Amino acid sequence: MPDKIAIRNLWKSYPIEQRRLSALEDISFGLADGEFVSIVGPSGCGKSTLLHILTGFERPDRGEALVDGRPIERPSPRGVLISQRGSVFPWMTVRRNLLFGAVLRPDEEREALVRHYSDLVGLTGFEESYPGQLSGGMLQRVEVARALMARPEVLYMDEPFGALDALTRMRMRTELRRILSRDRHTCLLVTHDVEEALDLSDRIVVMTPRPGRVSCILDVDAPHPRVLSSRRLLLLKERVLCELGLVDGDVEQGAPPRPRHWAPAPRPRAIRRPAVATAADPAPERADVVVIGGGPAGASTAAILAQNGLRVLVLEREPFPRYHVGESLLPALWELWDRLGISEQIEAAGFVVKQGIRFAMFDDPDDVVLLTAEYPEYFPRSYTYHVDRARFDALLLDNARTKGAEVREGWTVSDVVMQDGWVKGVLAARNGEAPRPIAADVVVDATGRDCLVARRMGWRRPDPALNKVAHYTQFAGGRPSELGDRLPAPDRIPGATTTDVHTVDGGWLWYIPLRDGAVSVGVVLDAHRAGRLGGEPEAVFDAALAACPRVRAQLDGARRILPVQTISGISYINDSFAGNGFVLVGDASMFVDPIFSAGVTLAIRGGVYAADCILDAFQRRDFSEARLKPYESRIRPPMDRIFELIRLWYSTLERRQADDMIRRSRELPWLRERLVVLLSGGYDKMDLESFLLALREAS
Amino acid sequence: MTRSYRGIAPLGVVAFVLGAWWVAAAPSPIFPTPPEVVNGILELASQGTLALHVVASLYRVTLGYGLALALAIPLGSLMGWYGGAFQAFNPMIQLLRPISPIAWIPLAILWFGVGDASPTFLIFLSSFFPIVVATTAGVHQVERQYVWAAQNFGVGGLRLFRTVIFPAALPQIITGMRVGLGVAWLVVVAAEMVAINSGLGYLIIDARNAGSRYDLVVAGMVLIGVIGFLLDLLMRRLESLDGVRWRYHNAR
Repeated sequence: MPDKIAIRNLWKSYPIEQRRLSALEDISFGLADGEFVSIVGPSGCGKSTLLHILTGFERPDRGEALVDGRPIERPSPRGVLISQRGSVFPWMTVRRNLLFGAVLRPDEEREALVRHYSDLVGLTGFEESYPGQLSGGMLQRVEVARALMARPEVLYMDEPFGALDALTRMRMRTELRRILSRDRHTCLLVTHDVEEALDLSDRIVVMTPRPGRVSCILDVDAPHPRVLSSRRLLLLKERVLCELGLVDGDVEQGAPPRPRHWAPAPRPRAIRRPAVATAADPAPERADVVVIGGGPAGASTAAILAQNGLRVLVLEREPFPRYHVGESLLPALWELWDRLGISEQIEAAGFVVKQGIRFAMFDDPDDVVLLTAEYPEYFPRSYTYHVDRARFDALLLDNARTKGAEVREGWTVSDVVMQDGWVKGVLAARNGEAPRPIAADVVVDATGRDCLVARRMGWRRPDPALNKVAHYTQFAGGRPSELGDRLPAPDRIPGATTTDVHTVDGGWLWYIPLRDGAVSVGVVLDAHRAGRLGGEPEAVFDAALAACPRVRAQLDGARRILPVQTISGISYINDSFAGNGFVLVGDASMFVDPIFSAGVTLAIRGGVYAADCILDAFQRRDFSEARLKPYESRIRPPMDRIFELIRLWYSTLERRQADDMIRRSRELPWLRERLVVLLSGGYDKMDLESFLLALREAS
Repeated sequence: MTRSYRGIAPLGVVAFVLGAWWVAAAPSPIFPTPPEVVNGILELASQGTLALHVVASLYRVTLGYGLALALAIPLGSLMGWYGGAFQAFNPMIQLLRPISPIAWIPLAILWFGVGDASPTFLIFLSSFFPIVVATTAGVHQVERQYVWAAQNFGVGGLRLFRTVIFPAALPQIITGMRVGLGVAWLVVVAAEMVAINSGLGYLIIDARNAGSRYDLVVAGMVLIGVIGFLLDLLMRRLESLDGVRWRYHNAR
């Protein structure tokens, strides 16, 4: 296939005080149609000059640059340049800026394009704003949308996100990937951010310092969305940094990912045993990784670590299967289950299918039903399940066993072994026996709300704004809410149900249909209010139920099969999720309010992320906090997003206003798409900032 | 600083100056007190001469200032955009600019007589230079990335000027216009004092010559001040328009 862009033996220099300063020397490479190529190099290596030549703003001294086989004569909308300095016209509204991008086209077409692109990049509702009123991230969206308005064949980006803060930059990267997945272009990106290049490109051109030459060209053949902490990409990153002279060492050409089993490293120095165990056995038991707790987070971490050849020991206090609350899952889990290799097993397990969330808001006669099938492109499968956690958790734990982890049920961990600020293992024993030490390079705290390590460290931090108390139980013989014709036949799975949320006085109530007429029902109330009401949990629960006639009707003839249980002080986030020799996963790292059913999804996501990070640590045999911390920076953004949404939910409840985000989503498709994706667990797929801004603008 | 302070403080200063004036002028026969000046203004208003003088002055300013805008903005744009034009015109402009418009009065009378033409000419002269200089600078300093972006989307020629270069330079042009109007107002009064028989400047000279009516002299001064203040306020409103605000209130 002929190249879309061909650059052949390009030279460029500038006159500086009677001398010529060479900017580019003998540059040659090409871009295929639809390819995304990044140029990475130190400042002043002529990267920008190259883009200026390719867009026709400058001319080369020698050599040629061809687009579709023809030399570039002058700037044209066929190849649009987006620069770091930002060229959105501050004297025009967003709308007029966008129109400007398609200035050569007929008016009706321009209007249609404006609607299309402001929707695509998330600017709907901001069309009449002036650029001065927008944040940096939003401005960059305008920049991208205006460039796309010209319907260019090639998009040239010169450090487009360079002026943004790190967090916004990452969000914009995700957004750009999403936009380009809908609106494919040939792209040439100039950046000094190696991760940005790794995340976005098909190939990376690494350039040398001035004068700029091509140092090497690397293929990035990982599927999207990319996991930057995966070994393949980490190796590639090291290779790029090495080419740039930023890392010492010799990374072999095209080094393959290392084999899955590491040669056993020399056993570390003897562990100073704590007092309890001094008299006990001389050689303590040891594992590479000890996972405390066999719930979804712990089981997921264990499965991936064991699969990659580490010796993993899972210690679970209770014999499985055991009851647990949190039955509603989210479609985002499919990607994680694929990683864990259990998607098929889960599909075959016969859990109740869930295809939506139903919100019965205050006295509003119309329910808002958000269907997971509305935006199927975001997730591998657009449905999910209501599970009885006893079976679901056992399935995950068995998977860890199958993948090679040693799982001991009925074992209690009484403490971790600390030495000079490092966790070196745990004190554990079969229930009822005297604890003895088990050494490990990494300890994974998956103890759920017990928060073994976090309590010891004093890291547990309740969220006072979300001080809620939950009373919950299960019924037999309840009627599930059917989807009916809310979802047309081909997409509707027979027997599919919804997770129902009913607002009640001072809080809300969940109704989750499980197998064989079993139903999970719970009420979440403001803790102060519940405290004022007083009374037994059971009485509080019954009172809330009595005030909700629709749920009462659904439970007509049903009987309670579990005592009412209570969790108070619901939400907390620990200060830190990692330290020297340990990480916290799942509820041991944070506990999130149940309103959007995020718990299990975040737990498994955290478990998988933690495993990625621990694998990386083992590869370098460095188990320090610094090495384990990337796990935390990866899981924090999704957590922060869901916490923000939850705060919004409770402020809605407090104000009882009719224009809350749930109901607004009925008439604002753009808001709805974001809400559905976020509530389906796609916390990594949606930019919450634009969602919140739109919401603010809409109300 | 609180909102109310910002509202009250300037009024306080004005009240203090008025009070001081009142106290100082009370025993003096040659300096009228505030009530006398107010009476003077009312007297002029009732005779109908007040409106006549104000309109005459404003008319001349409109004419001369409008002429200056019509010539200075195109010339400034040309000089800002084309290096050649700048090199050709700039020395001449820099040479004429320091000459006070007052110095032109004898020649203006000689050339244009004592009608409306000579003050119009003087006003044109006075406001032309600030506007041409500001426009030149504004156009010259338009950021390259804006021009490139426009060219990238296929926009060039007059359209480039109309949609990008002029709006990008407009904030600076408006600043020049504000300065220009201020000078124009200064000059109209001076011109009317010498050569004309209407306008606020004439009012002052006439009041002194025909019967030493110093109350009317001060009344004329007060009116000049108030109208100048209002004109500047008007120009400031221009600076808060959506299309130019970005430059004054940097990025928000």
